[in-house]
Order: sequence, then C-alpha cells, then structure tokens
Amino acid sequence: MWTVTQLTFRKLKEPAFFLMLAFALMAGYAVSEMDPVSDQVAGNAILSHLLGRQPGSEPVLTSTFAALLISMLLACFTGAVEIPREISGGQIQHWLSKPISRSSYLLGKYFGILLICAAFFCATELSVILCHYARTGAFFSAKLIARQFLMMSMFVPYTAVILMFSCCAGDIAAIIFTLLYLLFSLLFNLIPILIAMLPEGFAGEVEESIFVLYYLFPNNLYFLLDFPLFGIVSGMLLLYSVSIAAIFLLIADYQFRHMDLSKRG
Amino acid sequence: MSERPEKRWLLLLFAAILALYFVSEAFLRQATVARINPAAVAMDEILAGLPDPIRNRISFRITLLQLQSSLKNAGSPGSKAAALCALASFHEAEKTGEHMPYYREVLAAYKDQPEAYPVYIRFLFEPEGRNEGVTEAMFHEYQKKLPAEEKFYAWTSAYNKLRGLEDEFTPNADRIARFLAPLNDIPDPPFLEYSPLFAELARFARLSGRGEMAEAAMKTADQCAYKRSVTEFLMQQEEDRKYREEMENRKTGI
Repeated sequence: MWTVTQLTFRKLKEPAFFLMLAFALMAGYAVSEMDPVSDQVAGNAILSHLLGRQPGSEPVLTSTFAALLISMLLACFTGAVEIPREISGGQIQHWLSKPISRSSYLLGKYFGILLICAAFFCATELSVILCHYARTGAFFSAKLIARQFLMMSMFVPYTAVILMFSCCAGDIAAIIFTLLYLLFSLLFNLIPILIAMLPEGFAGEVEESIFVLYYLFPNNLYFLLDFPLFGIVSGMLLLYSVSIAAIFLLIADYQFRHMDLSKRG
Repeated sequence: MSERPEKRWLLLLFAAILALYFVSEAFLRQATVARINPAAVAMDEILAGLPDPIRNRISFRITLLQLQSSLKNAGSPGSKAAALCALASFHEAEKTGEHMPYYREVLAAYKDQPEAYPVYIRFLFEPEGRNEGVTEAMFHEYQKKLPAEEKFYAWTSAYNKLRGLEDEFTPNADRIARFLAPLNDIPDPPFLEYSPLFAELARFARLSGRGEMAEAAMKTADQCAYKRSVTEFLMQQEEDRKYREEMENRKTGI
C-alpha cells in the first residue's frame, strides 16, 4: 500500500507539477497580506455571525483559503484521472499481479493524492509565511500557523470524494462530477444552519427533505469556523472529516472491487 | 464461506462510520448555530440566505402561522371575523383549496360584523349555488349597518368587482344602476372618494333612464368633492386615539 502511495506522490517530479507549484508559490506571495476570512465576510449578516472572531481562537487567513482552493483543484485534476488512466494504460494489472489487494491499492492512491495536496498546501502556506516575514519583519504566531495547517483536514474528505468518482466514471467525467459535487456542497452549506435559526416548526416538512439532501454533502463552513485549536470542536471536526472520508472510501472500495478492470483497459 | 462474515463486518463498519458522521455533524451544527444570536439577525436576512423554492415555502408557513395566531388571539367577534377573512383570502391566493371553511364560518357566525365585508364581496355576483347565499339584496341590507370606513371600502370593492365582471365598453347600465342605487340613501357621505362612485351612479342611472336617481347622485357627487379623504379621516382617527391614550396615561400617572 505504501509503495502505491510513494509512487503516486513521486508524480510531483513531473514538469506539470513544477509549473503548478510555481503558480501556487506566486499565489501565496500575492495573497499573503490579505485579511482573515472573518473580516472578508463582515458585510454579510449571517456569515459575519458564523465566521466572526471568537475569543481565544485563531482566524483562518484568506491566503489559506486561496491555498486550499489551489490544492483542491489540483487534487481534483490529479486524483480524478489517476485510477482511470492506470486502468486504461494497463498499469493496474501490473499492480494487482503483486501481493496487494484492491483495497490496499485504493488506500495507497488515497494517501498518495492526500500527500500531493498537503505538499501543495504546505508550499503555498510557507510562501505566505515567508512573504509576510519579508514584508513585515515578523512571523505569524505559532498558534495562528497551526490553525492554518489544521485546514488541511478539509483534504481528508475531498480526496475520498475524488477517488470515489474516479472509481465510478472515466477521467474527464470524474473531474466534472467532482467539481459539480463541490459546487453543490457549497449550495447546501448554509441551509441547515439557517433552518436551525428559524423558530421551531417554521420550516415544517421542508426541514426533513432538505436535511436528507444536506447529509449527502460535506459542510465546508465547519472548516472555516474560528474555534480554539485544542478543544472539543476541533476534535469533532477531525472526526467529521475522517468519517466522511471513510464513507466515501468504503463506497469507492465496493465499486473498485466489483469493477471489471480488463474491460475498461 | 469467508465472504459473508466479511460482508457483515463491512456493513457494521459502515453503520458505525455513519453514526460517527451524524454525531460529529450534529455537534458541529449546534456549535455553529450557538454562535448566532437570533435576535441580532432579522428573519428576512435568514430567509434571504435560502434558495427560492425553500424560501417561498417557509414564507408561506410563516404567514400562515401568523394568521392562525391572530385568529387564536382574536377576542372580539369583529377581530375574529377579520382574522378568518384574512386566513381565507390567504388560502385562496395560495390555492391551497382550504379557504371555503373559513368563509363559511364568517357567514355562519359573524355575518353582521363590519369586518366581515370581504366575505360579502367574495361571493357577491357569483352564480346561484356558488354564492353561499350572498345576494345583492343581502349586501344592500348589510351595508346599512356598517360604520363609515367599512361602508366605503365595501361599496368601492363591490363596485370594482361588478365592473370587472361587466363588459368594459358596453356594460349593463341597468344592472349597475340597480346595484348602486342604495348609495343615494347614505345620508351625507363623509369622504371625498365617494364622489367618483356617485358620479358613476349618476352616469349609469342616466343611461338606464332613471333621471331622478341620476340627478340626486350627481348632487351628492358634487357635495363629496369638498369632503375630506379617507386617508385624512384615518390620520385624524389615529391622532384622536393617541390623544385619548395620552389623557388616559396622565390620569393614571404613567
């Protein structure tokens, strides 16, 4: 499994990845001095309440948000094509001729893509931190930096989502489905919170149907909240990320185990 | 042999992960909602964040609950009639098909209340069998008991409905004149807005060969032109109410 992870991660050596990395570093430089996300949404009545600064917590920087977007896009383009291309190229047969199960192969791919995302995110974040130091002569506090790196937990479910789609569809279709899924998940983010704020019974029967739809998508808003770094909320957030990832990986695993790999080749 | 227990374990694992997902999500949702002070966020702002179909359904529910609550809190027969009328017309506008019981309740229990006039307007001029027993004669009798403001609204609403039913260019002058004829019995109509109504009565009375009725109506229309408007009347009423309240407060020392 770790060999699959290692070989997936080694794709970072390809020239296209270097170009992307250069782009990520430049983006980090460009957004390094932007206000935290909570200040960016100050004009929105509800978002300013939700993402507003909490005492004893560190905010998510807008530069981190940009780094996340870049890394997630990259994960989408890399992860969605990874398995379909190995199937069509025949490499999958080579892998499965070794003493490695399909589930281990899938997990290896998952961790490989996760590491690629983490590498891009870390590179962009480092660029942001160093640019901030170069401009102001001061480093961000350790707590603030730790909070930014905690945002990497967002990759845990999304990489699983990408893999699930890549097991169900071809490479291009997987990219499209993943992007559409991400967009839809953004649409549903605020709904349960808004409904919870309405007086009891106001949403009526709508509440049940909307919650059924809502549970099909991860809520990105939770990752952006300001909360104490070492507390029950951050623990729950990790549990939330891991549980979503596990659900999607189980679906992907089921699909992958029942897939006719020779036909697709 | 080994596939079944594995499948069972996988299902158990899936169920456990689902449970963890629901628990962590519920916790995070509560932690998020707890940040918001509902008093600081207006209902409109909450609704604005929802997609159109959901917003419409929730707005419908909010209005319905408000109307039901005003019916529940209505003490006097007049306010009960007003709340029932509002509820009925809301249901009718939203096409829920639940409006008739409310209209019928008004006609059964509150038909003499001034606030019940929208029900008369609703069924007036409807064909036999669909008018719930509301006839023009019944309306003429009812309007006699109405106070100035409601009487004016009842007459204008009824006239507008009748004109809407008649042909725009060749209306049935006889029918309109017959319906508006009791206007001439109102002693000293108090509002400026009565003037066009009497002018219309005069026109249709003349068209239908009722010279005397037309002359009387024209005379009243001229007189009404010098009266105050309904808006002025309502403003005056509001000022009087405030004055009375202030006097009452002074007496009780508040």
